[in-house]
Amino acid sequence: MSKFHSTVSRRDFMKGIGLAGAGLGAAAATAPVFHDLDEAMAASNAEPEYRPWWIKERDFDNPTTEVDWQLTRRSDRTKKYVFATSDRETHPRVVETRSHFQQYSWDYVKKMYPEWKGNTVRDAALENGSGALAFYNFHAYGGYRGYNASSHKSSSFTGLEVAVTPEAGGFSKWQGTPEENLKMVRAATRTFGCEQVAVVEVTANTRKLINLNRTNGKPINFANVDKAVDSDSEMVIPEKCKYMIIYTNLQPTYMTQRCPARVGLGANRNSYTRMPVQRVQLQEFIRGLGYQGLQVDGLCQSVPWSMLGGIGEHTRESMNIVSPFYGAMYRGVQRMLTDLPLAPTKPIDAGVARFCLDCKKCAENCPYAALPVGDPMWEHENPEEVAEDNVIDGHIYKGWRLYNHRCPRCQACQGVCVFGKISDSGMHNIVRAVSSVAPIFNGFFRNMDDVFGYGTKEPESFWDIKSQPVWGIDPRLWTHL
Amino acid sequence: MWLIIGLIAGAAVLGLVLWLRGKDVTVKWYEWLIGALGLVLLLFTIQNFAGSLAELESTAANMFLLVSGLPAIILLAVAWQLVARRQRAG
Repeated sequence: MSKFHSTVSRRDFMKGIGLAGAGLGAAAATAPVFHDLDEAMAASNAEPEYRPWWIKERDFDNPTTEVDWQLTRRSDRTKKYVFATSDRETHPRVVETRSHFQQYSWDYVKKMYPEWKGNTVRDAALENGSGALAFYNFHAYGGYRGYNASSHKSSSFTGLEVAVTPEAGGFSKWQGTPEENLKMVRAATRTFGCEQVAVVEVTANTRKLINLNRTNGKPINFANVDKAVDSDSEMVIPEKCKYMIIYTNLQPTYMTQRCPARVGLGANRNSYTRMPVQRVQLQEFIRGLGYQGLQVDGLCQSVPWSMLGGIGEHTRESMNIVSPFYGAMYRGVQRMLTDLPLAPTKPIDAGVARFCLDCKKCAENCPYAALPVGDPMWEHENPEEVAEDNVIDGHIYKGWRLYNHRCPRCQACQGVCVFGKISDSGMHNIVRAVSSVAPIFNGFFRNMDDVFGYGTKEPESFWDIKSQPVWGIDPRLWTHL
Repeated sequence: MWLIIGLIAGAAVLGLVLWLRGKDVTVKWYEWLIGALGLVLLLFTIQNFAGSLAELESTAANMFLLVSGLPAIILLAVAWQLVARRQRAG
């Protein structure tokens, strides 16, 4: 006789099997059945971009910078602005800035590093090599200027249109929920080399952030048309293209940290070279799904859109959005309108703009005194630029504005921003979190940033970095995303 | 790295407890607290020192040694001396 025996009779056993079978049947009838991965993906909720607990989301159209949506209007780009970026500019303030361009940068670095011997031929070569395909120098497709909506090439707005459409490829048009589509666009755009992706819906308010016209006077109109038009007389954006994709591009980390020395100046050129490629890739990806993507980088400003989409916050850096993760390291927060339905992302409050009130590190480090030092204002801080109305037409916000007469884009401010840290040291994330919830420590953190030696690096040390990251962008900047 | 540091720290604390028991040394709760604070601060210093070096921020690395490393050593020394002096007095 066996030492063990079952306490379940044969009858109970058979009854159990029956119940289990019925249970499995019921489960199978109610559970989702996936025929392929597309269906599995469609059944899951789109995952939001990772955001730590100390980053709060705000309501749409309500970023940390106050915007007067009533008074805001579409910018008239025929208005002339004076910028200190051109040698051809004859404005006396700009001439003064340009005549001191190299000297002020030299003095800034030399004051910080008296042993520095100055820019070398390899520094200049790196700057020039980085810029060889950027701006006006790239005459083929993909060149920044040759493929920007504000350029002479009208094809840039609607794109190359070379990707095989679903109809031509034997597919039906992609169909997904806005959340799934956002997840999909994020996945694709990350492979194109972009770090963050946000979406802002074009509403009655946000439409005001798209320029009224181009610098040559060609109007930009919205109409109930099926396809975008870029003719000699006008640009037409279909009303259905109401989702603005905002996608980012980081500057090379170690170059940016060494601006305004020449070894660092190629940082933005590197990014400008990559940007048109990413634009074409995203635009053609959207075309391949059966939708339209419209390059509108030249038709609107980057900071308002990236602020509204939650890429970062508007700060004293004025023309650069500041991300709680990457600081002011972005060059090229690009914009693309599309009719692909996308779930909008919300503006964020990570305490960045609040930190900026006390910090002022970028303004104090600006070799050209081109960044505002006061609190946010509805007007330009510089009375001279107010008198000349040298501010972006139609943008009514309580914030900071660049001293356009003085800024030659030396990028020193981008390298010193306290938020642009490689985050191997755990202290950085502690500071980010504490400053977000307890701004009383902001002044202390700013002082510690100086004491601990963060900020502009000795230029020559660039050449001694043992393992330069690919594209110059240290991947440890984005490991948390 | 943190796995190894955790194993070393755990073994060290265990060894300390066993050694104290073997020597019949009693430790007051506040001495444990001061020692624990010192240990946490020491681990914090190690992480930030190593992290700062990886970030190529040598000044920051050295500052962490000074700002958090030194207090860590002081706290550990205070805990040790409190126990040692009480033992001698007793």
